[in-house]
Amino acid sequence: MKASPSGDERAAGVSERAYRSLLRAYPRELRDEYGDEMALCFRDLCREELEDRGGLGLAALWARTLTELLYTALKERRSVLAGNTYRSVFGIALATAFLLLIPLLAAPAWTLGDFVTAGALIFGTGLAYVLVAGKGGNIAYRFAGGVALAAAFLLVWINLAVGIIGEPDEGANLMYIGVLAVGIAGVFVARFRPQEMARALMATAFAQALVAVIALIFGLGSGSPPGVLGILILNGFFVSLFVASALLFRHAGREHTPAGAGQEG
Amino acid sequence: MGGEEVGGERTSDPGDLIPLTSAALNVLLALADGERHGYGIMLEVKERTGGRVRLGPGTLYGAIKRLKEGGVIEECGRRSGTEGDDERRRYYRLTGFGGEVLAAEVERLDGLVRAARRKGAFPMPKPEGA
Repeated sequence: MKASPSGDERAAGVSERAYRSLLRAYPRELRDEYGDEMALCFRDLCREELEDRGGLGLAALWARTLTELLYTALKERRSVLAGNTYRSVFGIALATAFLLLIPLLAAPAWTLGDFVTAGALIFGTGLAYVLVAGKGGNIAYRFAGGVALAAAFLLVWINLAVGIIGEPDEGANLMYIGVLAVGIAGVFVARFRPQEMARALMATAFAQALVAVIALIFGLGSGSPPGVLGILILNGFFVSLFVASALLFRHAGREHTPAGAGQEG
Repeated sequence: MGGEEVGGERTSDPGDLIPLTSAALNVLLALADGERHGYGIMLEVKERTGGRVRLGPGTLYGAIKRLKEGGVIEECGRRSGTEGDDERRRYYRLTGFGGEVLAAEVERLDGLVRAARRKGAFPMPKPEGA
């Protein structure tokens, strides 16, 4: 599926212009110094792919390049803006915008409401991670926070998308709000102290398991996908994540208490 | 500084800059036998690794920026008049210090490979004619 040479040149030119506009994701310093050369290189890569594999090659190049651009732009910005919370928020907003490009390109059926909800969820999770990581804990502490937040993110996302107990509009799914409430309340009580965070996450895992038990006892959602086995597997998955997070917090607490965690105010 | 690419304050000890990242090492290897522009570096890396390593523009120029700041590579101007070449392209080459950094990194990797061979974790090279 190869276009004519003039068509290839036009496609390479359009791709170069699109890539130039995306270069704004990089810090100005890098962009000013190397932006022109980066765009030239990308144009050469486009020509090479179009010549070798046609439109499919160009699509594959774009997929690789967008992923690389997101990663390297965040890396470059992190090195420039390290340690500044305001700048971290900017980075999260940027990452959120980039992640939303995926459904924008791949899922045209998404409504404005879907984008707003997804954006708020991704941005909120990112901010929460910055808050946890900002407590200055060790790697285990940060990893524990990341696992817990990833679990909470997936729990909300799956519920909104397809539902865990039956369909998304099945009332029983509202029980998962209780699971998140247990986790959030636990974090407030723990005031980010690792041992207490471990207990909070264990309580969250228990709440998650309790929801599954209630659903199975009362036969909630058993007549529609994902079915009883699906409910068990999905809840088991989330229980595992919360327990893993709790164990990591416990491990982190054995090493040392993160600076600022547990302080009044 | 090792493992974080190269950048920030300059150092005069090549050992301070190793281990290099994969991107930085590939850029230095591409420049080991002559000066190249960015796309030339990309092509050299792709050909040398059989397509297993493909440096994207963001990775490449992030590495170039840090290597240049660290005094490991330097610009050697632009070319004009070459057919198919773009006058806007900048060419890069290793500095003397960059050659020392590359040699130190290769020596480090060689030591690792020899240690792996001694422990049987790596196949011994087959004798000629075997």
